[in-house]
Amino acid sequence: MGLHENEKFKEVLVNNKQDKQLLKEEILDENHKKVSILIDKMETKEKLKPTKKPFFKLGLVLIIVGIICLLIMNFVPWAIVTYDNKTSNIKNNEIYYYTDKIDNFSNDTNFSSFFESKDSYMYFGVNSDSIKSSSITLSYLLYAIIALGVIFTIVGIFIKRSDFPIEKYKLFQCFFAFIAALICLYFIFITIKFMGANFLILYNGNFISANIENLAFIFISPIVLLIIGSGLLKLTITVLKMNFNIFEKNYLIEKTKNKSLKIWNW
Amino acid sequence: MRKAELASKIEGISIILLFFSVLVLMLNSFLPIVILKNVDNPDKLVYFNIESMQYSENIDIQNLYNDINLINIFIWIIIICIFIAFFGVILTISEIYKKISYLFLTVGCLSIIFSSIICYLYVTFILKVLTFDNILLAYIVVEPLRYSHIIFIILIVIILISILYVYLTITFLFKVFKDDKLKKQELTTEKLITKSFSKPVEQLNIFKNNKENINQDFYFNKKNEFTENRLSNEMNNIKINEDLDTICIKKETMDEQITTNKNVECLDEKKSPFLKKYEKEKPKQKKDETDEVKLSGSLEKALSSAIDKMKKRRS
Repeated sequence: MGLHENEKFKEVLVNNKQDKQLLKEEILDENHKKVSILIDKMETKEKLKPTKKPFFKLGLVLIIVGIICLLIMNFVPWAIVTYDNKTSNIKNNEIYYYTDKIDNFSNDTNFSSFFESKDSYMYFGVNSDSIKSSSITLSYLLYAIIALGVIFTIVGIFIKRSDFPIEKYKLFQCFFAFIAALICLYFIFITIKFMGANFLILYNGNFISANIENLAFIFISPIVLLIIGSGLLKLTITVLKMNFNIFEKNYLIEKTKNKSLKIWNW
Repeated sequence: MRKAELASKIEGISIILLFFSVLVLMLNSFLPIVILKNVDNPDKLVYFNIESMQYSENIDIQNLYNDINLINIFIWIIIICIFIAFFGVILTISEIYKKISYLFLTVGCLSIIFSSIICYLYVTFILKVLTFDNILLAYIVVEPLRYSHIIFIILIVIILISILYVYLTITFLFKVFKDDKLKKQELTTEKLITKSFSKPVEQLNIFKNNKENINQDFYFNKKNEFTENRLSNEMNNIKINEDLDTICIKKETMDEQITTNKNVECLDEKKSPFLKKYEKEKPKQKKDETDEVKLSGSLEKALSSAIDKMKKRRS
């Protein structure tokens, strides 16, 4: 009887051990799965981080936009004017204004005398002098934008080869975007007065001259420059916002890392 | 609210503020502002925008232009302030130049002052125009709807947004300073802990060589063990289970050994007392040997020299 009891007891012990081992394996498998998932997540996070130093193309964009704007200024007519002359009965006179050929814009003496007088300033806020001055200031602003782009690209190439931290490079980019945005704003501020002139002609078109009828202005290149300038402003703000989002992500990741370290090292 | 959420909100609000201030600037230079009535012919109405006001021969209109120009300058200042604040938000999140970033954020708070000044100037401008007989505010289609009213409404919106911006920046800066204080406190406590850990190790170093710094390694290993054990409670539980199993197995083996040892003890009892003493003294000698090994070389030399001197005196 004693031998039988011992054998049974041993069998029970062996069964218990087997059950325990199975349970252990199950727990280990679960833990292994959890750990593998965590490792995968960590790897994906690490993969998201760029291994190579990025080269920001803001400078190149600024250079290209500046050159395009200069081309538009020089080759697209600044304004197209259509009017009917009462005295000579010539209808649909079309005049194309270019920035470099403003002085000899029309053979019609009545119209030219009006457009170069102070009345045009009073009725539209725009004159041939204002076109000249604004074109000069706009060209200077465009040169400034191109110079900014050139400096940024040179610095970018220099930083990419040296051991300069990426975060500071991003801040540098933000600073350049900030200056470019201010220049763009001034650019828009100058070009919008031509839009205002277009708007005023609806109200003050009747007071121009007795000899001119059905006057219509279209400032083509200022409007195109205004659109490009506003686009560039939007781009600079998006660059600033994009950098902010990157910094925010990094900040949140660092915070979570610090928190986890605090929990484990407590 | 979290710090990052607050920062993102400030960023969003600053963009909205920037949009509205740029809109006001554009509308001011784009829309007609005043109308000049001809005294002789009241049907003849000449519309003026900011550019045409500049070159007008009428002195009243030129005075009005000065007022509007001042408003435009203040709007420019607001735009620059908001841009600086936006840059400040990016700097605070990047945590590189902290002090400058806080300064930039506070510069953004100036927008509330400038926006209120602009609103006041615009109200005075409207009231000034109403005093003139031959000058009117430019209206859109019908007389009660005026362009200046649109600008005034946007200015009020700017004031409201700037109030929100100021509130958020104050809460953000308050949180940032609070966190900085907590960080400083944590650093001080960490320093104290490291000092308390480092003291006994230094004391031991006086008696032992640098190569045999066993105590230091001991503390370090202990710390590591503590942190490793903290890493996963589940894994710990498994380890404990394993330990328990090993203990159970050991107990079983011990039970078996006890039965065998009993016979050995019986034999021990039969041994002579001299042999027993000899066996007990053996491990003591071993311990002394181990202690001698731990002593440093300088101490050994000092001891040997002292023993030599004693021998010479006795001789």
